[in-house]
Amino acid sequence: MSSVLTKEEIIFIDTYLINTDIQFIDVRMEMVDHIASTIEQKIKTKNTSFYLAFKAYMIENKKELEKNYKQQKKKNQLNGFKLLWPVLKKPGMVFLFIISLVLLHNFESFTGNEFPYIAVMWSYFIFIATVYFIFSIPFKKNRFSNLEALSWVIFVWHYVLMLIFNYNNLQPTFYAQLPWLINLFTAFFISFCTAWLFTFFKQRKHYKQKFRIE
Amino acid sequence: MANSKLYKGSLNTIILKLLDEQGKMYGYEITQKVKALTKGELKITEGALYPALHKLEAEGLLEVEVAKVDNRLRKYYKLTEQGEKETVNRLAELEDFIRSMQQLVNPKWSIS
Repeated sequence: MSSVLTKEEIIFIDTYLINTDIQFIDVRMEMVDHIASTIEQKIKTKNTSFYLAFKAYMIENKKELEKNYKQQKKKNQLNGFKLLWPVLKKPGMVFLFIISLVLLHNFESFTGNEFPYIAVMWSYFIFIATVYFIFSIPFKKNRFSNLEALSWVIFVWHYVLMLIFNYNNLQPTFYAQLPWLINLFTAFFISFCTAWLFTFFKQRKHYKQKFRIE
Repeated sequence: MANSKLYKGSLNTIILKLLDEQGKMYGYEITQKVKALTKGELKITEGALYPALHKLEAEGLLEVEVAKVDNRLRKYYKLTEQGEKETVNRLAELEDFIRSMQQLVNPKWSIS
């Protein structure tokens, strides 16, 4: 008996994991390979059938698989920030932050007008949110952990902006009192969103190449 | 496994060392190699191995390669340039640790 699993048997394992609510395809792919390798080894050494080997594996490991996946899913919500941090530290991003800060600081003296903080920040935010929705379309049937982690970053930023601008509505003199703070925040926001765009397209390219998604 | 807590802190170094020797490996292969090298003493569970591999990948020490093998996709891990340098550092740290432990547990005996 050949110990190499057939395509149908691999699909069977994959479907079982989908039904166990293991949604991220990049995580599931690794699980499928691990389970299949273990089953092939059992078939080879114990001369058993696919079904019996699969059943034995799941009896022994299903609870741990589910537990590990739940933990991983929880951690994934913070992974977006971890993915962004190395990009934010790059000299280009630091340069962008400093240039933005200098320009923001001198905007009024150059133009005679106050910088449109709210319009710029909301526009950039809506832009990155739109980019996420448009460019994750080919992946919609396949959920990837890092792309979803980056969507959590947008979700958090949405609440940060809401909080700041609602606070500002209550305190109309906020900018006038603390101009350096709003300039610092806006410069950080611009660098952060730019880093997000780089990271998103890098991850997207990585998944497209590795998983051959057109 | 005799005492998993004793091995836990060294898991990343074990992975890096294996990848340094073997070039590229996939998850199941790593578990089997460790099991064989330690004669069954150390069994790495999926719950410990994959988070460790993903962490090393996120730190830029490992890079991945996906290949279709036996009707499924397989994720291979290999060291990056930074990973190769880090392996040398971590192995040196581990050797220092073993030496210190030996001096504490058995002062008369030494590995060097």
